Amino acid sequence: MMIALSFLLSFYGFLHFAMSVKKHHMDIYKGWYQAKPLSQREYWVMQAIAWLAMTASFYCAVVIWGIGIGSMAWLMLITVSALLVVALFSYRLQWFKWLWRYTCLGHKFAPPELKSSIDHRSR
Amino acid sequence: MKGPLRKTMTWLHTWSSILLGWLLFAIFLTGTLSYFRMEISHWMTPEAHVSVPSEQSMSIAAKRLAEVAPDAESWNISLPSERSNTLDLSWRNPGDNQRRRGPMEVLDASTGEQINVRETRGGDFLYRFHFELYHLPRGVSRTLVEIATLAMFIALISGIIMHRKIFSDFFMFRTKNRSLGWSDAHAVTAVLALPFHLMITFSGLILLASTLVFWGGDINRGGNGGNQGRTTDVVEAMPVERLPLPDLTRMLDTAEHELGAKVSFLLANNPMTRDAEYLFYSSERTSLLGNRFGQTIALDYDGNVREATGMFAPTDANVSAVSAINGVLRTLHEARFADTFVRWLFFIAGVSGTLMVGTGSILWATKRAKRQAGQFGFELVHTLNIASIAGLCGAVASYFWLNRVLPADMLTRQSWEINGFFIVWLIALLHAAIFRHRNAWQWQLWVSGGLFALLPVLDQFTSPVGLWGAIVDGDVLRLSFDGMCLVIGGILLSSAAYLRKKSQLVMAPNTSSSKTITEQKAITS
Repeated sequence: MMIALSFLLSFYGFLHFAMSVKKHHMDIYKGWYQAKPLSQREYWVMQAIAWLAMTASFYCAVVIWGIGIGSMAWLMLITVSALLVVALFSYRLQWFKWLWRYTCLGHKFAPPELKSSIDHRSR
Repeated sequence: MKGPLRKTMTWLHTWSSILLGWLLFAIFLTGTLSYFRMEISHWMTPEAHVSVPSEQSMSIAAKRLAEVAPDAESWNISLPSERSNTLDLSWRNPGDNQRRRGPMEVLDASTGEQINVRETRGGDFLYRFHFELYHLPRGVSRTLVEIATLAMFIALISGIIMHRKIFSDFFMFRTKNRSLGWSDAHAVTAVLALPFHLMITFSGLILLASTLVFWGGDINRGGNGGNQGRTTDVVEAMPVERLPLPDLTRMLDTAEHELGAKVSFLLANNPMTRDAEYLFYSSERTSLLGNRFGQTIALDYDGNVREATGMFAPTDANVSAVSAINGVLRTLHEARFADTFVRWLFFIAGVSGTLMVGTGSILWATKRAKRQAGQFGFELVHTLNIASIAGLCGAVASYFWLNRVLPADMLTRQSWEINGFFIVWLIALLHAAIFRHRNAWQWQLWVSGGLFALLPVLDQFTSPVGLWGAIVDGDVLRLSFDGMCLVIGGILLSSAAYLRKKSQLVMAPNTSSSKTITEQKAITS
């Protein structure tokens, strides 16, 4: 249970890390509406969330395994969750978008309803 | 080699890794598989699949040993645990050679029936191959592996320095833009699993460091003392008073209670005598310190606690900082602390390391394909790439296949499994040399991937217990192995499919370009 939590937290952190990179940010928003470059404020918010999530995930790992084994196991855990993020990003961009929209701050930064209505009008 | 730092590093990275890349791939692949060493050994002895761990194991073992080896100098009882399903007994009769293994028996852990397992090296072959290769003098092969590790370490450091945008490209994997596909796969598998690569390379480097040092003894042996220091040297067998067999199950309870962990191994010195010493070892560990076994506890003939030793308690008297560090590195390198889940994490990191080495070698060839095709050096690398990457995977898969296909009671079957491994590898090399420009890559990847992916099917039909039975019994060892085969098979098959797609695109460039244009249109509109 704790392991799953630790994994999900690190996955969540990596989602935000990925989105705080300009190129990926553009990739994600490209299909939604006229892409808006990542603002400085957004960048810092995402970084903060990501680091918080990573810290929490590390804390969980330490609780489960203790500091010695925990730090090693955690490093492997985040390796796998980062690989998952990369796989999603490269092969299942739609799923990534969905996750971003509904579980993260996707709404805040680019409300999907608004964007889709713009899309419809322009068509 | 002259030039700015980055250029120098690129040069270093390229040449330190391509020269030993094939060896490194073999080391990485067999090493990654060795995380599942016990699982492989278990899978390769299907006779033992009927054994299901039970609570009575200890009393079964005690009864059996008191029957067959009442006068033994020592007993070894390996209880079913997370990493073994059977009850393994061995003992040493008085006057036996200290260095040789005594008689052994494998029992069904719940019924106590003796199991005749087929003769096989199991996962040990791959494990040994990982750092000693095969059939070479030990010193030579270890030195060779150590040099390859050194090259790997250099490649890692130079790779980190030469990578321009390590953070902005962190999640980059451009499958659409095909020219960068290999390079991205190389970078992604390298960067994401970087902690693993650094840890595994550095610890490997230190563990074999003594092979490059030509003076002094073999320090590798230091931190390894499990029970060697313990065995009492009985010079000759003297008639001793025999006591009735103590209640080992109760002692096991005491030991587990005292240790607060599950016991997986019992070493009994002078069993059933007044000098008896029953050493209970637990393999569960809560820290990275300590040697092979996590904690031990010694009970005397009556079941009283004689001494309990914690994690860091040295059985070999003097523990220096050096050997403590050595122990930690070894524990890390072999992931001894890992439960099934963490083991899988390490395995995935290992797979990405293997992919990193493989894609690196491929990258060298694809970068030079246009300019140097036809030159001897390029053709050599190209051929060796195919044989050492796709071919080796096929060889490993056929090692597993042979284990199940060769008759169980065949003479010298153990050596034929290994011979088969090398024969398949040799065939792969010949095939690669002849058909290197005619889809040898694709063929070998299809075949190896297919062999791996079909292993669970083979398992279903050649084991006395079907896969459904394994799920019901909770045989995690076996299911881990089958899952591992599916993962490896999936990777091989999908890279074969990727190559096929790529070659089709080259065949019909017009359709592909029109497709990308429509794709772009779809995106921009």
